[in-house]
Amino acid sequence: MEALGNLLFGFTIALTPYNLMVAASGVFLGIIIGVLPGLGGTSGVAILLPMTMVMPATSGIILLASIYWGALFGGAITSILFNIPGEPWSVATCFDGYPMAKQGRAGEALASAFVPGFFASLFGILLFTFFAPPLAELALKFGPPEYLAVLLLAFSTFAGLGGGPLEKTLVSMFAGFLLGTVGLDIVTGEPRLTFGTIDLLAGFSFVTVCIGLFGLGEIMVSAEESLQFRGVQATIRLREVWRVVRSLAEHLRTFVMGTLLGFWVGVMPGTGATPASFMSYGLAKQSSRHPHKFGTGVPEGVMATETAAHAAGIGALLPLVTLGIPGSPTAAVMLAGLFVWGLQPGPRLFVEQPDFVWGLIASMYIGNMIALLMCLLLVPFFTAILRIPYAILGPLIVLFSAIGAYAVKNMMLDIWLLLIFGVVGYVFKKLAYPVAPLVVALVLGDMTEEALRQSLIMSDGSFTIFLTRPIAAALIGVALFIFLLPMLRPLLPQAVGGSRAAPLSGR
Amino acid sequence: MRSRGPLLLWVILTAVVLALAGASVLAERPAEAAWQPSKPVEFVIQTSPGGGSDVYARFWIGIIDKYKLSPVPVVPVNMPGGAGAVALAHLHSKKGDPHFISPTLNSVITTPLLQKIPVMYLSEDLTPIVKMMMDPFLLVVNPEQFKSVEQFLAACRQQSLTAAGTGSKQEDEIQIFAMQNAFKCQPFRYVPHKGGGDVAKAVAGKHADFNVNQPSEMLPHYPQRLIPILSFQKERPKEFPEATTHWEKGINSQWAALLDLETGLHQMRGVIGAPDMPKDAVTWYEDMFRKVWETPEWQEFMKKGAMQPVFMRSEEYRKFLVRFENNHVKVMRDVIGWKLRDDLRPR
Amino acid sequence: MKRAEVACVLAILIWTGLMLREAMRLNIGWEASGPGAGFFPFWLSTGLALSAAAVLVRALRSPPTERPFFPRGALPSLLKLAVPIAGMILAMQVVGFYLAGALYLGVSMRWLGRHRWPLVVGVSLLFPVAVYFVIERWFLVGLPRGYLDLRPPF
Repeated sequence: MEALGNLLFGFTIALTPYNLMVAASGVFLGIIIGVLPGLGGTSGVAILLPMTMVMPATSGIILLASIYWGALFGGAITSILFNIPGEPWSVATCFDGYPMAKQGRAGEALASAFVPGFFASLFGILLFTFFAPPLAELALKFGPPEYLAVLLLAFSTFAGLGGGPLEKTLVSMFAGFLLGTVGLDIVTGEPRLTFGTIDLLAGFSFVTVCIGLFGLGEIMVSAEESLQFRGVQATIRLREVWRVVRSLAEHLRTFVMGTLLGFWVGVMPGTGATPASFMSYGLAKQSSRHPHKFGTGVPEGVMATETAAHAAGIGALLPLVTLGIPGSPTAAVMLAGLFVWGLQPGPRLFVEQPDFVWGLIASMYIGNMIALLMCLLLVPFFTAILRIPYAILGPLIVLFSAIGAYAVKNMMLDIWLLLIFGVVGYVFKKLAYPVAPLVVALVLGDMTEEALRQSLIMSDGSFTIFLTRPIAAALIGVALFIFLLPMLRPLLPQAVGGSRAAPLSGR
Repeated sequence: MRSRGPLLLWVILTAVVLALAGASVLAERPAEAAWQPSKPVEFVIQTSPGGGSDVYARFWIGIIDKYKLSPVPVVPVNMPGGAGAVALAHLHSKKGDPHFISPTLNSVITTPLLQKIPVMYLSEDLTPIVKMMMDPFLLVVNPEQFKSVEQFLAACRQQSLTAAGTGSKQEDEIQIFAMQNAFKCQPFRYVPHKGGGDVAKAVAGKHADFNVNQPSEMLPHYPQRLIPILSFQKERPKEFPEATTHWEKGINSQWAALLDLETGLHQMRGVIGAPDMPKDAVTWYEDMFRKVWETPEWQEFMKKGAMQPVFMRSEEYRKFLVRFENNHVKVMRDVIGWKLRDDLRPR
Repeated sequence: MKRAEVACVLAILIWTGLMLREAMRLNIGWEASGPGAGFFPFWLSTGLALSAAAVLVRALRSPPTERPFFPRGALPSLLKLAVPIAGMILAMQVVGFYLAGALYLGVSMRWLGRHRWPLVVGVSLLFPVAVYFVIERWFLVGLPRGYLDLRPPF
């Protein structure tokens, strides 16, 4: 139990009053950044990076990591209260969190985000503490074909996501994929679908599209109703928190699946928490006994998304410390931090800088605990926002959305896109086009194309590469199985009568 | 409630805000001899937070803050997209305004040669300010696959090897193509990746046979999973004495010069400014970045990453860029045969 | 509702057509080592066009419904929301975020919410100041300044 001893040593570092204070202020900043749409954890960490130069390296990484934890928690808040994803990985939190809030169950929804998220982090940190080096070895085995397999797995879990008529689901999905291809092609370096403009070379940013489709679209829908948020009461009572803790046991499968999936996708460099959150949501829906209720406000939906996002956040730091490869964009900024503090990431970091590594790991436990407490305490404050009259709150949301959209690329175009996608979101909602497939296709589409084309270059264009590599072949097999499951289910004897196919074919 | 008073108040207050804003615009035109920035300096970054040049920009900003080298804040502004095209176009639109600078990396040379954007040659269309260092290329392989450059060269003449690199039609691919020609290898398969870390991982995880990468990208995996077997400079780097130089391999000297750190291609980090930046502003930036360059933080960083600590002022940097650009045109258009932008000004 | 459905499909089809034309400028074929740059844009646009056509067919076949796209009174309140937003973004292009934001906030509060003037003025002045300090000073995130390059006077 060498790790245990090291961990205790780490706690002696992380628990000094200075580092505790650093962690607490980092978490607080992170929550604020997470709440503001568009100002993601990535920018939050980047903004404070220069500031850490005057700190000892360990305190510096604790500060940056704590911002990340805070942002992971904060991202859920606006998703649930306003249908505006504060962070890309909390988009799927909107699917069920916002309906819950509209039904007056905002408190329950928030608790279902925070508490399982915290436990998922804890679970992830334990994995990190005891298995970091072997997991890093495993991550190295994942090349482009394996990435493609994982992405196919993600799509297979989303086969039943639509919920609208099939052809409308397809329209939404194709549109998302198509938007994802806009910009500079990574393989040939050619501009694609940019109509000769420079601004479009940067492509469509996921954040802008989501804030427009969900946030602004929702404001427009409620504008035609009565310019009111209805029936939102949200204070978290201790009883509610306790109920969620107990319901974790009930949804143990969703929790464990979400955590493991999220953690692993986080460890795989370059993916990050966002795909993990979608995959976990899709998987929870597919394996649920009542998939048709997803999207109408079930706590499992929120739980599945948030567990995966939190576990992925932890996982993303693993390849950063062990291999010097960031697992997510946020981790990439932290990697910059390592260089700035004069540290060399890699296996030797554990040997040469034990106080840094174990201080960081210990601070993960502490940071997440602080984040949970702070969030639960701040909930009454955030929900008080909902009591602001709508004629003030609505415009404020619009303005903060504009800040968020602009901050991604510092382009006015994104603010216009916000309005355009707001209108699209409104029209889609009225005409029963499902929006989720568009968003998922947009975020996963270009990654998938990239992995496919990289794989085919490696194999000189032959598809056998996906069958000869064992990990890729196995994952593709699982993806196919999940994809076909709704069709196979009637054939399985024990499922006769009990289950219903995913509502893909429904109208 | 319906009285006219509050309306009047509102109008007045708005007018006051407007007037103050207007005044601040007008106040920004001091005509003193020694130039100093009068409003926050925007550091326009070509990547998202965490990307290559973002790291450098934020590092320098950190140093500037720590040593209080600037009277105004230097603010990072990320404008990712189009391999630098978006940021370059923005910088170009700030003609004559000395409050806009940008970190350089090699895509700011290659992108304007390929895409039709307002900038074509950095040295002519923007204002070179300083060069902060040179980051050498190393040929990096997995020691389980190749132990020496001889093994590698023998293998590459037998069969097509797979290379990993950052982006498409950018520095990595150019260096790899030039190498293929210089060493008469079978055509490489080039697999583009998003960033230097991914490229290192591809070789460390044996998904690709080799890459050409900067030392700092390789170091996390060195020496268990990645080793440098060839360095592209006159003398072997003292950090990696095992890496043979390409001069030792007896290739055609014209090729050797093109691959070389000094005379040919390498990753460089520096700072450029908006077009037509006034002379005294350039001097101010030169002096500030000289101080940044001299700080122990930057020196230590370059040493840790096995980078070449060079510093160039504006005029020297401009001359260097002219040669550097010509080298790129030569390799990209004449050697590899890529189609450059059709309105390329001949030089 | 039916008319709206058809109009929406037509809009999608027009957009798809534009994308298809852009995609045709690239290599849409399959090369020795995998798909060309235009392969996915082309086939995705085609797929989009076909699915949109399917929506169109179903919409044309379905019996007309009584339910209108805009419920009674919806269009005015929708325009009341969207027009100020569009106006604000236009203004932002010229005078920057702070002034445009303050005006938009003021107009919305007064016009939609019929709040009292002191509140309207207070909030729409407080907002830019708070945003400036939190977002621009603290988080160092620049906001649009517009063509006039207006900056806060402090």
